[in-house]
Amino acid sequence: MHRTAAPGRNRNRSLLGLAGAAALAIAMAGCSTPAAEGETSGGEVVFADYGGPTNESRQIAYFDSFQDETGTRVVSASLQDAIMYSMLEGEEGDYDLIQVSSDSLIKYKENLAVLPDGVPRADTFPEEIQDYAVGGFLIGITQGWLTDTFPDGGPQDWADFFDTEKYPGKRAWPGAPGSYDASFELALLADGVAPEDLYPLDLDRAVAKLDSIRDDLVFYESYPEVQTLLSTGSASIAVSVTGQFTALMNQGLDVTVQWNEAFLSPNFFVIPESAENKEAAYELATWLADGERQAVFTERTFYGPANEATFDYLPEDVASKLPGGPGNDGSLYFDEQYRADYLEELTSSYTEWLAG
Amino acid sequence: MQPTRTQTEKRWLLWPPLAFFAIALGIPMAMLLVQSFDRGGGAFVEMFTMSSFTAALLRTLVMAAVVTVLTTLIGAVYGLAIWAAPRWFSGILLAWLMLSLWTSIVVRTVGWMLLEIPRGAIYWLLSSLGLVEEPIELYQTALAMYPAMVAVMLPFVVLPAMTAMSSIDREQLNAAVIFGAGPTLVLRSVILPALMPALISGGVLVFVMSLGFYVTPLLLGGPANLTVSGLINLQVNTLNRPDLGASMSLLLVAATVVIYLIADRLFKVSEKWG
Repeated sequence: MHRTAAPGRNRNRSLLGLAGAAALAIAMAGCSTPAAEGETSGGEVVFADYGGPTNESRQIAYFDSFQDETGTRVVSASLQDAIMYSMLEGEEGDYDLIQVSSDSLIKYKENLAVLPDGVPRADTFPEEIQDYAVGGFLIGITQGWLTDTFPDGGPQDWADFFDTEKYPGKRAWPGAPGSYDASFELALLADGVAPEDLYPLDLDRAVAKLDSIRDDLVFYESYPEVQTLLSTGSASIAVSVTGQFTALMNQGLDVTVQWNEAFLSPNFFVIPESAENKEAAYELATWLADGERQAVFTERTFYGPANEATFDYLPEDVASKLPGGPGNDGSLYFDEQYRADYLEELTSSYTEWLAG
Repeated sequence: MQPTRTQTEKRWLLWPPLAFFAIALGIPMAMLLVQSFDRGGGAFVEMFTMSSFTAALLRTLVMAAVVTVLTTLIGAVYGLAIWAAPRWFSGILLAWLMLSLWTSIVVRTVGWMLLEIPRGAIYWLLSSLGLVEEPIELYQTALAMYPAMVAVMLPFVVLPAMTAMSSIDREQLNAAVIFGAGPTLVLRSVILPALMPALISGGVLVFVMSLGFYVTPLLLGGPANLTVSGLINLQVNTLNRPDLGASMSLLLVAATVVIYLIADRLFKVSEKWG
């Protein structure tokens, strides 16, 4: 269920993890299959993600050094839904690590590998996914605006967001069918539901609240449109993944991100039980959990780190802009179990509301 | 028809296009059919119980009809203008049309978006003329969506209309004028009869193609204008229900074929192409 974003630090674990990895590496050297072709000693491990800048940052922060250090080839695959679902359902496939959403993790848990004790867990993630999630980061979904828009300070919470008298102007809002993000949750929070009472979601109440603001919304189909809508002044506030606000800041604009009642969503790989190179995948998982390497990745992407230890390697001005960063209090987590169980209801309710 | 060629020679020429369509159309359709029975074929019934689907289907048909009427009317005027204008100006009109035809539909849609958003280019123009002060309420309304869709479809009416007009004998027009016909009568009894078949075949083409609109209405018209294509995308990419997506796709293809066959029976469309 929901909780705030800063559980205690745990550095012993990562030390333990390194030891575990070393042990694994020795074990693997003993029984390694002959390398398919060429010089590499330790075979390969295949990860599947959606490419783009995240993939590039992963290569630079983690995979290049892992490959040099261990001799295990890290192969990047462009994620195919068909392969992903068949592996999640327990069948054989080419991937060793697959980027999935939290609801998929929960839905297909029994076909996923539980991380061995030696592999450090993502300690900023909700407890129920820590044993499966590898190489993760946190995405924030919240409201942000150009600081100039509200010189006397902008909305403090979702109730303020719905107050179009006090904070006039259009709100940029996710408009692709099925892209409900945090829409139901934030509507209920605005309507006075306490964070701990959000689930199970009262969809009728949420939809009624959403209806009340519909005329003040301008919808986007893909996240980058948020930048256009905000920077032209076409929308005064946007609800979006925080990466879009970071992108605007990188263009030199002064953007305020409201972390209070922001939703944090973990993003990660899982290792399917049917993966061919599980041992190498565990070794890579340990590599990915290292704070110093995560700091390199974080500085490139501005996603929130999966391990608290990473903050030790980040400058203050970077850390303060991150989901789960110091001072960015009041963030909430989704109930991923509920969202997994009710995926179809949520999608169809939201699509019907959008089309209505 | 070349009398010197034998029947066998001509039949041989049919094989490459037939083979192409068997591969490029037949195989994907067969795969769609297989996929739609992924969960036992219940998807064909299930989709009609989904109010979001029936609403999207109706919306798509209405939208395609509106686009067809608007495009045919504007296309006729545009085609006539190209035909009647002095050479340099008809060159410009034609260049505009081809330029838009050669530009990706996504690029054009984003272009319209930048024009139409509350503080976009239209707002900027109007406000610098002192005509508006508040951001404009145009983006994500029907008024924002139809011009963009008509612009996408316009070449498919204008090009056949131009071909039809160029086949009018100018002497026939001169004759009509000499015998005392006014502009209205010339338009009604000489120009329209020549133009009509082209407008009908162009209109059918536009209607059928408009059934596939997705990004343009969703972005410019707002999410209230979700089409069947958008719903198919949702089934496949978000809900992991490829069987539903496939049966909706098959229905859309079937509807297209049926509409085309009816139009062909009524208007002899296929005889007018080529």
